[in-house]
Amino acid sequence: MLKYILRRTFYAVITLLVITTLTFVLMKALPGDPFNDPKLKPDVRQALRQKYALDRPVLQQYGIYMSNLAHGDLGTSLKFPGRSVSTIIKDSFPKSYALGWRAMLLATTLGLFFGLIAALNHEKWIDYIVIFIAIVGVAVPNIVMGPFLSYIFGVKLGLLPVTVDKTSSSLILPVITLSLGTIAFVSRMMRTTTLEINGQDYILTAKSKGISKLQIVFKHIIRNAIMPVITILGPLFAAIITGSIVVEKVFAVAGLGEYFVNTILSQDYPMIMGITIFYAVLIIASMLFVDIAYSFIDPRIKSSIGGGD
Amino acid sequence: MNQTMFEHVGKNLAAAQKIKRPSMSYLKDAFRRIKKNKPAMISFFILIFMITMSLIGPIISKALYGHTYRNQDLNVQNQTMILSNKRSVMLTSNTAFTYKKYTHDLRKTKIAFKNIKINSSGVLAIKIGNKAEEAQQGDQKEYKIEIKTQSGDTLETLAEKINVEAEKQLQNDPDFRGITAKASGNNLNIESKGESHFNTKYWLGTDMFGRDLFTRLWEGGRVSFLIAFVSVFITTVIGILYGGISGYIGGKVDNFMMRFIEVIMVVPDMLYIILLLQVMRPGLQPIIIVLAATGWMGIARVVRGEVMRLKHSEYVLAAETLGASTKRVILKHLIPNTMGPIIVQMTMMIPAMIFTEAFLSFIGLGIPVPFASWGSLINEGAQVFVLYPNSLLVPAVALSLTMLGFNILGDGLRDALDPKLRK
Amino acid sequence: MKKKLLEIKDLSVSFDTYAGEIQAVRGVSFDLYEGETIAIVGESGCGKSVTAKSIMRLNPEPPARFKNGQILFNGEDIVKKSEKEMRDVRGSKIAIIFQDPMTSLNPTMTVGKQIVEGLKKHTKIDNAAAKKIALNMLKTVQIPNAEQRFNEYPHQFSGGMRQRAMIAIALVCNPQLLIADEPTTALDVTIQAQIMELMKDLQNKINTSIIIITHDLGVVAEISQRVIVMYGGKVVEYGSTDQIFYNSKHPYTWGLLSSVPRLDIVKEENRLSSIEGTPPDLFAPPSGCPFSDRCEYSMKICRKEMPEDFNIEKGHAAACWLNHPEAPKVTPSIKTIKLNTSDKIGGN
Repeated sequence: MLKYILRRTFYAVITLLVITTLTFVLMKALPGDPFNDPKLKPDVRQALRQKYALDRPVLQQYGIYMSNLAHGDLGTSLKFPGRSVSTIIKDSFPKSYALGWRAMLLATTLGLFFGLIAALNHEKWIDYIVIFIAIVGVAVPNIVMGPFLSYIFGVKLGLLPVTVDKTSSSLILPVITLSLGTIAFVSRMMRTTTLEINGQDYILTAKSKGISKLQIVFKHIIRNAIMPVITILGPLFAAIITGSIVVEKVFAVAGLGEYFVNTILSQDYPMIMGITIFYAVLIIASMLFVDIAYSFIDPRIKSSIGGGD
Repeated sequence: MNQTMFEHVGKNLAAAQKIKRPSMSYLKDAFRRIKKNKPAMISFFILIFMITMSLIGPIISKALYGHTYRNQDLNVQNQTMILSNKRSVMLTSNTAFTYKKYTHDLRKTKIAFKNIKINSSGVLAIKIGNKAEEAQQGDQKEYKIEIKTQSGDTLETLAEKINVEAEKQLQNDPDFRGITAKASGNNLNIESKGESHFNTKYWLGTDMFGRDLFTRLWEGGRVSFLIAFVSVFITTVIGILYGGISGYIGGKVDNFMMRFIEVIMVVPDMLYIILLLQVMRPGLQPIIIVLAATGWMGIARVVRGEVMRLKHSEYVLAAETLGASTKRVILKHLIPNTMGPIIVQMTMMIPAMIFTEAFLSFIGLGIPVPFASWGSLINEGAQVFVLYPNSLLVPAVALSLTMLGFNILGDGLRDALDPKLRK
Repeated sequence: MKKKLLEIKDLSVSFDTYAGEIQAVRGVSFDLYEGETIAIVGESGCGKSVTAKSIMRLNPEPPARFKNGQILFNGEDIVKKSEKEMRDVRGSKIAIIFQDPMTSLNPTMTVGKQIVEGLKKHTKIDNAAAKKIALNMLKTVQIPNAEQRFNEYPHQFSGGMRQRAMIAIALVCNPQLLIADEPTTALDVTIQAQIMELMKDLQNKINTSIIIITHDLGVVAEISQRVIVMYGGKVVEYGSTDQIFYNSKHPYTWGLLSSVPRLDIVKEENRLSSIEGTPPDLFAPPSGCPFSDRCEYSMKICRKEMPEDFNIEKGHAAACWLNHPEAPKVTPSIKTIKLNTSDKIGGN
């Protein structure tokens, strides 16, 4: 198991290096010079270039860039001079996080639950309802669901607020919109897994011992069905992050996603790079965490000395 | 029981070995299975419809009305599929009563005041019609109605006064589309008269710049489908090459190639796409390039898995033992068996590509204005959604149906092409 | 006289599928006495597995359906019991072990827990006492290092050990009847031998009746006292092991006995023989004898009418028209090796 953890951590670090390097390369590939403004006097421009180390050889710039990253310095925003990228992220991320963890929780619990009851009632009406939700949730994207839900529940029925403020009820619509795609995906997967497991021999063995249906579901089915779902928790989390970009725009949340969209259009390159790296780190870290947690749960990895893959 | 019953008859192997069901080739069987799958067949026809309309839709509307995707006509903004000639109703000043709640429908052709308390006397002014808002009705007439209330007036008499005054004012209106005021309990409902008919010139309505949505929808469809199909095609080619080589060579090379993919795939495509689009100007070609650049990994994995599985499979070995040449092995065995998962993967990638493009357009990185794609249409629609939901609903429904269709079809194909499910 | 433990009377089980009704079991009858071991043999698809699972009502109902018949266990009809009543029977009075030990154990639960699970359901004892019994069971099935193995997971057990663990799970509540559904089919030959040794050993120690389902005649000879031969959803012959091996009166049984590979036959091409043809499709079972299409001794009547059970001697009957007094006499062309009678436990 230790070997497994070490190997996973190694990959995480490598991935991080690749991403940050790629970002750096792209940044260098960007057309134009951030200080191209003809109004700048040559010596001012020179001073600025020196400050941002743009006059040194590329490899050295790379080194400075990487060491800055290691210290958590993501550079300074071009559009808001004087504000560092990391402070901006620090300020806006908590709002995204408030939506994110709720959506994650909702998505996983509902998804698992729906998938389970659908599989256990195979081909009865509840199964068909869940399948329908699953398909629609996957096919109808956030950009449609968001405005749609906000129209029905916000404008027509007047039940819920359509923009986010201090109240907790204003979080309901954005969280639901954010989690829908994931609920659909998780329930689909859980259903497939549970159906597969239900047909396995050891479920018949369990039944032959005379234990109750409930016990079979909890002790035998759920434990085994949850495994594959846990392995995709990482990518799920990534999906919620990208989904938040749309949801924040639709529901006017001043979170990181909204910021991201705005900076994309304003071509504030350090911001774009900085936020991208932040997201990447977040995702890589969460995947690593899930991988390690998984190794504690899957007995095949927990008990082996060498460690599975 | 007579003696003849014990006559010897012997074996009847023909009956014993009769295979009661006809045997079919793989493709025929797959075809049969998917034809049985009703949702998949329905989806298939819906998709054919969508693609066909994308091709001929703009041509039809141009021929009939001369619509293009960029003609603007600010006189006909935000029309819907169903036009009505009802005028809007609005209170301009009110000292006649107080009320608790005011509700109205979208275009204020039906307004209601709830929980009314009538004042002893007052003046009520109502405006019928709205020059600014009703550009699309082409009418642009406004009428003002004023009534006075006295003590002793009930809600019913108030309503009556409104109706009488309205009729008087609107007598000269050539279309005579007036209003009806009705009191019910403590509530006052005022409804504007008129009929609705289908919008004959702009079949699906117009957007906020007065551009025909029907044309823009199908032009957008062209772009979305083009991007999706071309990207998927390029992706598949790259993926087959990469995956095929990796799977066929195997060993350390394969190990490295797969690890490389794993490392890259950790980060969501969206981030790569956004980064890459910073370097290139947004447009049709860059989007295709970028989508292909992030999509090939999925197919590569699938192809590599299949190639590996088949390389060592027993029947390839059997074929080789029987003396088949490598070329024959590849053609007759490897390809027919790998095509299944590859086709399924391709079908599932199309909606993903369409969605990604829509997403990019939504955040402004996609197809530039004034060109249309379903994503940019949704983006524009979302902006006026609260007031004029039509511009969002049209592309949204189209996009959702298409994505739904590809998903269901992909599922159906997966079930049909799975050799393990052959009966 | 030994007590009758199980009486199956004219059992018919069908499966309702999209394509129609599959008559898997068509009028099967046999008895089982306390303490005895019987074997049910037949090809794949003859209905033996469905019959066995029906005794414990383990076939999913739907699509399985009891068309007719009774399964009397200790005098009570299993077919009429509710699911709740069945849960009391399963594991405690009747137990089963399955064919594939690889997939028959829950990979995410320790073996010890899986043994204790059934125990705790049927007896009201605490964890400590249950663990003691489970450890004892592991020792009985000859799994070394029981203490350590108790906390291990199935993937840490070898194939043979897993099958032993299955036996432990089945026997932990001291059931009156053990059903073994092809217990050695998925195992290597050497492991097969070990498991058979274990089962013979257990036969001596406990008074559990055993129904062993197999298509391996070697297993039959080693361990069972009586044999039931099934084909096409019906019982075609039954008798003691000796009677079936030495005095069989049904062409299908002759075919089975001849199919055992023989090295002592001189002519090489006669060493390996098989029965030509394939079993009948139970969708549309023939109205006559199910074996008649593949039988070289077939007569007109065989195609038309289902043969009755003809009594050969006490405890031995065959459902074949050849045993009718008016049928021609045939001598089967099989040679069975004389088994060493001292090897068999229990005798007739």
